[in-house]
Amino acid sequence: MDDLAVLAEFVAEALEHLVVVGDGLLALEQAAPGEFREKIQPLFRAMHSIKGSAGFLGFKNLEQLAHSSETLLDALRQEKIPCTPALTDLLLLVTDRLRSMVGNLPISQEIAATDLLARIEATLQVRPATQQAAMIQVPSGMVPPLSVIPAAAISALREQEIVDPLLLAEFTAEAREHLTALSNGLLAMEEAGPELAREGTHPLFRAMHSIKGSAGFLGFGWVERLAHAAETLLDGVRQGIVVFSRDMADLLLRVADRLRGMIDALPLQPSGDDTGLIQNLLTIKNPSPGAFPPATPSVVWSPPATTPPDNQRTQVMAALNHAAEPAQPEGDRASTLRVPVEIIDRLMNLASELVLARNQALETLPTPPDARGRQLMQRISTVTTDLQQAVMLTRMQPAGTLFNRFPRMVRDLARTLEKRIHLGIIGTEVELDKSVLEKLADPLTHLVRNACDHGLEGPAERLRAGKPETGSIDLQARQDGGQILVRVSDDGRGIDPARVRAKAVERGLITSAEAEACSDSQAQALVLRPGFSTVDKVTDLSGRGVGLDVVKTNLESVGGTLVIDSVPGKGTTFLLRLPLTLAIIPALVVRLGGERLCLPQRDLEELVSASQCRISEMGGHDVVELRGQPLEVIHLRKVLGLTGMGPQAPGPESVRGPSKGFLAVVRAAGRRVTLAVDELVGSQEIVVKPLHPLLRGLGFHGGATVLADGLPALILDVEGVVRASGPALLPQLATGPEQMASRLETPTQAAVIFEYGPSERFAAPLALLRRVDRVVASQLERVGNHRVACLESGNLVMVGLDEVLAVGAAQENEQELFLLSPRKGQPGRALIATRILDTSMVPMVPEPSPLKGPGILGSVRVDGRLTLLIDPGEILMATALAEPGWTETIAAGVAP
Amino acid sequence: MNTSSDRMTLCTVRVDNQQYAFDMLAIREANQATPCVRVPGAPAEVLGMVNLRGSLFLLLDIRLLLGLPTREPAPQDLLVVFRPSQGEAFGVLVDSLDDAMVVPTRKITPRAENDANDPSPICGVVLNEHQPIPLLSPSLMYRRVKNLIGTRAPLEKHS
Repeated sequence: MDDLAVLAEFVAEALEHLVVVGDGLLALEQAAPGEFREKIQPLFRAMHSIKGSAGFLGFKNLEQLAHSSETLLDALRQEKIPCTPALTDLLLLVTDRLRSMVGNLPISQEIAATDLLARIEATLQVRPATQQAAMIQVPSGMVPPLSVIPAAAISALREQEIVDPLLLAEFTAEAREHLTALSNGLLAMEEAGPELAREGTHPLFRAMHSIKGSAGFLGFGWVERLAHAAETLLDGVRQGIVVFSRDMADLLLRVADRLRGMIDALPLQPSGDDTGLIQNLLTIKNPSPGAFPPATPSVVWSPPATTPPDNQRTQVMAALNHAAEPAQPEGDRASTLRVPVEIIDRLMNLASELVLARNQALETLPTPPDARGRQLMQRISTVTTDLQQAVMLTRMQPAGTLFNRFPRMVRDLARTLEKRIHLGIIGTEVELDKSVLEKLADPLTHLVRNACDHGLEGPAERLRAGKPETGSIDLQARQDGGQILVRVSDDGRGIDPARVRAKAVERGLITSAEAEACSDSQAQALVLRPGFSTVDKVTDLSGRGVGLDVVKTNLESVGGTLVIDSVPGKGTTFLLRLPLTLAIIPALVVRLGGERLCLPQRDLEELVSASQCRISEMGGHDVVELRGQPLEVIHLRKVLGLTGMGPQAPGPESVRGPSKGFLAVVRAAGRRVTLAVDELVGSQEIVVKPLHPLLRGLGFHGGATVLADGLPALILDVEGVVRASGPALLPQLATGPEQMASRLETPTQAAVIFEYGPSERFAAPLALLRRVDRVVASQLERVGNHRVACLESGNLVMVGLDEVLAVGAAQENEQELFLLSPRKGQPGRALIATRILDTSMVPMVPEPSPLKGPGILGSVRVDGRLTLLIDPGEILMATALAEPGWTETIAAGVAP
Repeated sequence: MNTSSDRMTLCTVRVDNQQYAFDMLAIREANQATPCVRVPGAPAEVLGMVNLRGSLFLLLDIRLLLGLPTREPAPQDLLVVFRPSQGEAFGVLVDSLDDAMVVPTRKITPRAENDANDPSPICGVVLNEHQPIPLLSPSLMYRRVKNLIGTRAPLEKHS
């Protein structure tokens, strides 16, 4: 265990996974035979994740039980054993036990779940369901989870707590930090080589020394003895008496693990004998005879104690050493504080409440309020806003808290896989919201593991390919606008599109015709599909077809994305994009049958008024045609069972003419549909609160929030609602060669489609635009050669596309023009569009353009017409560069 | 339930003009009701959600759970929120809060057999001088709604 944060993260994650398993098991019982396999998949994944993390954190008993259940679930999935109620009971029992084990960490890890393991084993061996009767047990619901671990065992463990719990907590937290520093330091030294290693030993020595000292002070002799031996060895290295070696690193890492185990078990002494380890520590320090320390009678060089050292003496020594050590700067200690997350959540709640109270107070003030009242309210307003922001900040954590687990993981994996791997980490200081960090943990672990296991080749293969023996994996985080970018790249074998195609066809994910039709990058993206795995052997590391699809779904569930970029033979890069925070999200508040619901902006593509559309009926379903594309209308009222209240939602029931309400175009569950809502309330930033556990089973809501008037409102889980609405009516995303592209998930981007001259059509990616202004003839002026638009926000020099590209010129006498201001480039200039046609999704990677020129990104087809995709910033820069006197300012303005 | 001693403190409430009792130890707080909003898509037994000082609580429809005719929440209703031991962040609306009373446990008759199929939240009867009062178990209410939602798992369709 690295530190408390990691443990807490693990516990939270595991509990969530267990909810999935618990709920899923119940759903399995109801599942029709055909959907069984589909339904068991998430359970299997969840169990797999628990196993992985538990194993990584060294919770052996937990890992064992999760592993067994995973095997059981796998057998179920492959229909090797039948799913009987008795089996479900057993799995529920296992889930309860896992929950109580997770909830009582680290104490619970001392107790193995032998009874359940035996039963799982028995079930797996029996296979034919002959012994059902023997398996039937008390329904798990009757057993309160805590009592699953014999209460006596826990109380017995707790009774021995003789040390002041506060002191103990402080010690364990500190010791864990020291051990993390130690592990990381050792890994760094291993890489640096023996010469530099000597330098690096100082902090490690001090870390070990601190553990020893405190352990001795608290009377944990067994910790002290081991720490002392390790310290002795480190001191040897520090003084250049012993040469640092790989074996030594191994040994010291083992010691760190053992110490961690000891610290987790405190105040108890864990089982196991350390004399071997201590002996190793003391013998390794003398590789060459006679190299014993010359004349440094340092206290720590006192003959190693094979018998427990005299406590009093150690304490004196510890005190002496403490005095000799450079004191830790006092400021460092005081500048951080551990605060339970619940308190921060509570602060967050209270801050929001304060905002509401302020709003209510404002209403009660006389209108208009007198000067004093106004001043007072203003002050309260600023303070509440600041308070809310400050609380938000407390939730931010450096990415390092997550990244720190990887060096060790990669090292261990490298050893197991007999590969050489260098892990580079950049951006540990980038701050992320805790909720995002939690959501990132699983996917990132998968990706790094994947890179080690599948991405990088073995040393021999690498040498054959003319690469350095040591493979590298780079982990990089950075903030990009309102998002966090995380990149995991390796220089391994890359993803072979041919192999992926073959595998995908073999697994029945696509037909061979589709395989032929898709491009290499589309084929590579297939590895993100559920059920895809190119590795035939099941390894301990990265499993049985579980993996990248989980990563993708996990990321998407929080509004993130995953993109693969892979060059066969050169390596693979995974690019993860995540929102900065999940605690506050932009949402559209709508009204439905008298109730307000929040629709997360991330799911929303477009909003149209129902009166502008023609809704027709098709096979009992409503369909709306939007710009030539038929879209299914999902009546939220019907799905959510809201009837008879408020104005009628849009629909064809009465007249096919204009209907009331709005249609929200969303893309979810692989479909593009519209959701019919009664009314729009407005767009606002909402503070996401966790959904009540009872409501999770419904699958309609993703969370809850409190709106500005203090009333609660639910956040719609668009994906869940779309799924619940029934099977897809329109084959839009399902089949047909044209839809192949979207099915294979070609990355797309939103672009403004516009006209300039009489003939050509252009598209500018929205991401490249800062704003679009509409100007009328009266706002236009001419200054020298320039046409200038005088807007409230300032003057804009207008640039026509024909000034740079060989395209048709616009009419001079347009009454109305649109100005596209790019995000990058010279702020004072804008591109002219004579008509804005639409915004639509265009491929991220366009086709080559028949017309070449600065700023032309390529060509795309929009509504069947060839459209030039341009970068407005580039074009503006090209015009500016052509003019003397602009160059310098441009250079300053566009520096990336 | 607080059965460890030979006495039990009960809190009696009134719902639809009838008296019911809760174990005082199951109650976290009783308060003036705050406005309750419906939960779209939830079964009728879920009355709605309330914001209590920044924390959200789910309200169950005690009337429906008791087999009584349901009605819209009224401003004069009282909100009873239960302790986490009974289920996560939930409560009910009652017409009024009557009384607190201490009764010897021998005066409480537990309901005959805990039949898992019986959806009633009544877990026993308090023998009072005037008339017997049904004893309600909040955790039974919670479990009932949980089962209701659990069994109507949303139909899942993968594209």
